[in-house]
Amino acid sequence: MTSGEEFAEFAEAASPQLRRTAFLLCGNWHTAEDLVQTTLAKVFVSWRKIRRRDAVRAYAARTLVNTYLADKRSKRSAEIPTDRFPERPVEPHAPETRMVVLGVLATLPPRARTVVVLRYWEDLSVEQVAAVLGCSPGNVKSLAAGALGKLRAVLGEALTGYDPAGRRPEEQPEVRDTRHG
Amino acid sequence: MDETSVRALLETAIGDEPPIGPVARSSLRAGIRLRRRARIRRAAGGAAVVIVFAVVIPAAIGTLANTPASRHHATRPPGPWVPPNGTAYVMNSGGGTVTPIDLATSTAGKPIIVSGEPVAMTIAPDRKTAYVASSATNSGPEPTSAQAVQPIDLTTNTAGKPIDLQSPADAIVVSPDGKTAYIINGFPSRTLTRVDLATNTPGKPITLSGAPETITMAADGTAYVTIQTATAYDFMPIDLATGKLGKPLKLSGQPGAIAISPDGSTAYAASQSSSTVITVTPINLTASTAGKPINLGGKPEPTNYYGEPLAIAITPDGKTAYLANGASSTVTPINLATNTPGKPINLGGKPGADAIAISPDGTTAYVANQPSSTVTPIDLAAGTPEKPIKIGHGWDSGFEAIVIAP
Repeated sequence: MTSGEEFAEFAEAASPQLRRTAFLLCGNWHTAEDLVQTTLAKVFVSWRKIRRRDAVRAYAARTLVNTYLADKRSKRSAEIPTDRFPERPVEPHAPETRMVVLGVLATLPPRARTVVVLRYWEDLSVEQVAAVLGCSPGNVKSLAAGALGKLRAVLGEALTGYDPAGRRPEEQPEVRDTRHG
Repeated sequence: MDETSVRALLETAIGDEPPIGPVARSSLRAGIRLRRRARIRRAAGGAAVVIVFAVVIPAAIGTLANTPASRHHATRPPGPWVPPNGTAYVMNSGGGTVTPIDLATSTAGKPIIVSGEPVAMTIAPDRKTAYVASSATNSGPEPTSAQAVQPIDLTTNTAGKPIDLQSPADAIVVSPDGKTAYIINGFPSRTLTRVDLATNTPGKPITLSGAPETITMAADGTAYVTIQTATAYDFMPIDLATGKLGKPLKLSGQPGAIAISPDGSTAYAASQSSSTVITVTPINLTASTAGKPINLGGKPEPTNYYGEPLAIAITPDGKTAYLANGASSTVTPINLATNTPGKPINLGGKPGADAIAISPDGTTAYVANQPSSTVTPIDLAAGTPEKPIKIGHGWDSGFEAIVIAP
């Protein structure tokens, strides 16, 4: 088996989960698939150097995030943050929650959104997220707190009794992207 | 709102997934194009983005540690450090080269070009031949592709004809009688290949019952492999005739390097137990039991998360192990009588202490650092670094192994 075939086997196995992560970052399945393809191409370039299997998945996740953030930086001027939900709900059982969560994610600046996805979806520690983003752990914590506060506030309004203790939006700390803000 | 409920919310947000396209195949094609472009940039002398992710091959290091102790003395005469005689060979994986260093004069010679991307290197017991095992294509100025074992004649510093393995290699050891090389082909081939070194012909690969990552050999020829399981890493003996694996011993964390004591009684497995803690676990090879891990504490370096390389070498008298930490530029001595770590030796330069070897006379350790393009000698009696030896180019991959010939 050549390294190309070996890589293809990894890519085949890893792409569904990577595409889910990409979807949470960009909120659109087409863009998510493009992001995954670009990410995996970069992983192939460094394939030999990351052949330790346990490290490949983490390397791919980091590459995905960097690709997403670089993409956002280059397109920033052409894109306006939206409050609209990126897709219509397709799930019968939890349509409201899905819409609300996607809606909140869409309003987050790219780095805050990345923090939420890495911290709670990819299960990275605060220090690991800080290493990926090249910022301080304190910065990660404040971005995460801000994003969660927003989620809690909106969900508290949309879903009766979901989180009755949740603070109202005006009480939430402002979510700021320190690199661009 | 706790972490579990946030995760549940994100899962809800994903909802129904549309079918996925041929992502694996298209990304492979795109990746090949990217590689080609990067090579053209390098060849044209343009600035290329350099990503270093070196993996130290414990097999190469392990072999070094197995030199018979009787030939060496660990202490040197009093007075200033004098470099030992002999030649060190540094393997540059991405560049597809092996660079000789004359130790007495501390100067690097002309790189020996090898086929493909060398991933592991070991030295025959007579120390006249080194063997590199390769995988895929290197990214040197004139890239070549090979999945082979290639002998290097250390008396003339010339590479011999590659012995084709038809699958990428991960680790290599040579039997104490120098007659056979054993190559581990890890994921996904999961095989052990024997190569008859008298005729340089490979045998039929033996499929193993797990995906091996490394192979380490004791001085008496007993070999051990590590296997990655779903939840951990197992360390176990391997029958080199049949490929049958012995009783597994679960290791804590992710083993980055393994060395066996010169008397063959103990293996030392260096692991990252978490993203911030490095430990060395002594393994009693007779009883097949793991001792209490030696905590190297280490400064929490969040960058360790992506599996920085570790390398470990043991002095010929078996008294001290030296652990090189690829995430930094430090080497930590460990007293093997008491299993206690000493003060880390800071080598300076960029982080990337990726490979380590100890001279047969036991006086000096040599640490290869690709990001700095250097090999730094350490005077072991004083525990101090000497002037780094500059190694020409670095290209885009690590110095993954270093061996020393007399």
